[in-house]
Amino acid sequence: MIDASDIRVVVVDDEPDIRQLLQIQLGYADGFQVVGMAAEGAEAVQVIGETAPDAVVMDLLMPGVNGFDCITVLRQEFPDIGVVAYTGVAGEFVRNEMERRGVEVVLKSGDVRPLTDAILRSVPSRRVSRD
Amino acid sequence: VDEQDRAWVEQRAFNVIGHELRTPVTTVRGLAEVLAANPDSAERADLTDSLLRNARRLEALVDELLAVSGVMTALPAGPAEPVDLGESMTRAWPDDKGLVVAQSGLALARRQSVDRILAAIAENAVAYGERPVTLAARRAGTVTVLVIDSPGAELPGEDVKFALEPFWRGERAVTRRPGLGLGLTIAEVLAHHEGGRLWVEAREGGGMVTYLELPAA
Repeated sequence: MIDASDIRVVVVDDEPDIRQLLQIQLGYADGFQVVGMAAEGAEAVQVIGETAPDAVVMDLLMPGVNGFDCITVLRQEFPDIGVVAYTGVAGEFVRNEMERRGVEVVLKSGDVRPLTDAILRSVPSRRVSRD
Repeated sequence: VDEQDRAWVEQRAFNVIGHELRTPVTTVRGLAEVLAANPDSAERADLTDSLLRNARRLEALVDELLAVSGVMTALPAGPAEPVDLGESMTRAWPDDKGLVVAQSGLALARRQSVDRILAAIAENAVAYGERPVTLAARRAGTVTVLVIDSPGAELPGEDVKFALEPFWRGERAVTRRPGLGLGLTIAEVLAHHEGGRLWVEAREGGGMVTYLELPAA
């Protein structure tokens, strides 16, 4: 079984309350650690470069550089980092765009389990190396 | 805006409401789950603050939604009176910077309606445009036309077309805007209620020009 205690996560969301919530929820969840946070895409790329996380939880609709564009950059510059799109609304457009980028979409919810499951699925290289 | 556009805008409404409700609902449930599982959490005070803040935000969103139906069902009543449009806009403006009243004018309308219309226009101009915003009123026969010149970025055609539609918050691709996008919709209803009309046009050089026509005093 994967020991998820090493999974280091960067949270990107323009809502301070969501950033705080995820920091607390992932902190209490077994095996996750939030190592950085950003409020939009450009800041996210910088934080991710500095912290080298295993996975990124990415909001999509943000001022500045939005999540769609940021994920495109991450796929090019940090292809080994897992990405999960964490969004308030996920219609056909969002799902198609994320499928094209190979990114799982999780709807924001007070239940953190779907998100932690998706984070684990987003880092298959770590899963293989530790199984 | 034709019927096909209207159906599309109405569909958007559900997305906008869903998105705006999602953050506070997620936060309230998430924090409550954390507190329930960890009643002695060291961050208890912070969590409670955040819970309260998001509960209030939910309440404000519901209030904003109900305000639309409230405006439709409880329009300002009472006699019309002469209202100074420049004064009303100056009261609505959030600070003392960036509003130029080049020429004020008098309308014959219910003060409460005019104040709400101009508050919505001010809020829109501050949120989407640049300063200074210039007001100029002119008398044209039996009506007074107030022109609100609000410079800003070049607007996509749809922003002008849908500006008065409910739940439209400007469509810069997927960049999120705060609020539900109901201000100008309510303003247009109130303008009609006062025997006038409200419309917007793209501004040459970028931004938007809003026109408010009301019976002249």
